[in-house]
Amino acid sequence: MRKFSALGKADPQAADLVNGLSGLKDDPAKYRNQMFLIGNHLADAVLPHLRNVKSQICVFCTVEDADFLARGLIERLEQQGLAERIRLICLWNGKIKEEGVSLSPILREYKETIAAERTDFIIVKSIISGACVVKTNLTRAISVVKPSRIFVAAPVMLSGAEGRLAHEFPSDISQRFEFIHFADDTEKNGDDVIPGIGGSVYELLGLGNSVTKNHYVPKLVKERRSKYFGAADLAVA
Amino acid sequence: MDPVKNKIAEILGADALKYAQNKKKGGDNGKKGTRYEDFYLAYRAAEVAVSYLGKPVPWPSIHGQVLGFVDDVVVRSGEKTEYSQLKNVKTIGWQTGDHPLETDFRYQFQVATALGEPTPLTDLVVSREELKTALGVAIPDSIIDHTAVKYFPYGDGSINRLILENPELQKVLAQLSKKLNPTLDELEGVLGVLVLTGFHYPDGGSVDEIIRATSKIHPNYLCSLNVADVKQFILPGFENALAGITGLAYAFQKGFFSWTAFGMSETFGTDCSTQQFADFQNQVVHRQPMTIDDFEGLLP
Repeated sequence: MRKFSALGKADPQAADLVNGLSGLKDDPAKYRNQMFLIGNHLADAVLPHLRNVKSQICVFCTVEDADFLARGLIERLEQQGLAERIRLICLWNGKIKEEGVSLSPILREYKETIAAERTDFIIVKSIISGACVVKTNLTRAISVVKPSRIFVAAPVMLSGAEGRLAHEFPSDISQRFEFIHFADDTEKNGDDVIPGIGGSVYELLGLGNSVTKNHYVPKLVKERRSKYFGAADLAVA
Repeated sequence: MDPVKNKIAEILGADALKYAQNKKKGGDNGKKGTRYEDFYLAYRAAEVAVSYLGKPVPWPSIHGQVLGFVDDVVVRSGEKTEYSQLKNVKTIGWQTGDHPLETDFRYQFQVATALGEPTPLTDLVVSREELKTALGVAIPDSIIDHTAVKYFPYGDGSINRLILENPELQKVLAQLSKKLNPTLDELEGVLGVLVLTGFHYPDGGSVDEIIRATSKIHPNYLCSLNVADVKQFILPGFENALAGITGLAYAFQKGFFSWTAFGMSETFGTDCSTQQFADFQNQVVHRQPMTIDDFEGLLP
């Protein structure tokens, strides 16, 4: 069962985009574009929290979300004049889930330099269900820098994900969480949230399965590493 | 009949044996992967491994839920046998309950001594520091010569929180990581995969065997026990080929190959002794990549 959050109710266009995801199962191009547009709306939702401060904004995403949902969020923030404050960390996660233990090993990382102080995190993810990937990636993040605020931004969350994520962190971290999402779903079928985002995000985006998606190097990463690390000869096509 | 059962029946009687057998059955309660006993067993395996890394001597063995009275975790080496009883509770005393800890600890020492085990020791492990202090100053005289009280936190059932909240654990697990300076998520992974491997060894095993098995099943986290001298695994021409890639820096650390370039970084998934790494090296030598994009295309 789906229930829209206050943000989802306040942004009917975002709610329609989220509802439309499950109808795009055989069309990766449209699905990618829909995720990009939802990323725009997530940026609109988080923007009021970012306007009146001068902190750096560190966006964390997974390899599968980088070119679509995360790009949509970043580009909208850039359009709003925040480009200079944005840093990107993109992570390639593996998956270990057995016997009650869930781990998402970070196999590869793209990381721009983050300021040690006055940094806000935006963890953007297509769906938050068990919260294992977000747990791992946020733990990586706080290994480097202690953030001022932590925005967890996702189109859809499985009911109770906020509590599950908070349980994985000491209270001095979890009390900084601010969840930005449009829909709460209550049902699961195996690993898939129903209706969620329509199924496995890697497959819906046309990136293969949980293994093959990690061979992908997002264009967003190629563009930004070229810009930030002075590698003019790097391919960005 | 197994020698431990025999010995318990012989020196303590049939009722004590029945109690020990019931105690063992009762020890398997709780949700797998979140149990205090699972966390401590994995952490003790890590502690033992860290103290034996690089030593050319037989490593101790570790066992969970053995038959006995102090039975949650046992570490056996040639020099000593350490029995640990775990209590993830708010309060407990040495003499409280139908089966007081004092009796259990005394019985365990008696049985281990009668079995001829080297230097039997009994530890009470608790998840609250204040309880550790209170119990530590009140150890009964009857067991004080072989008993200690230790603190091991629980993290409210979350391995991640356990790591984040306890820098002392981080230091131990970091030594077992495949990274020189592991991040906190990687330390969670070290303990997490050891917890998982513990389930594959219900009767325990030698710690080095458990570490090797862990690396084989989940190669993402632990340092390698297979690579003493990494040079022997580096193919001719591999480092020359890497030197030709613009912006790439690399290192061989703790038996693994790591690289960084333009904000990217990765430690190869398996250690340098594996066929996967040999295949990768062959690809690099054969293709001679010049750019990071070409190099990434060769990574498995």
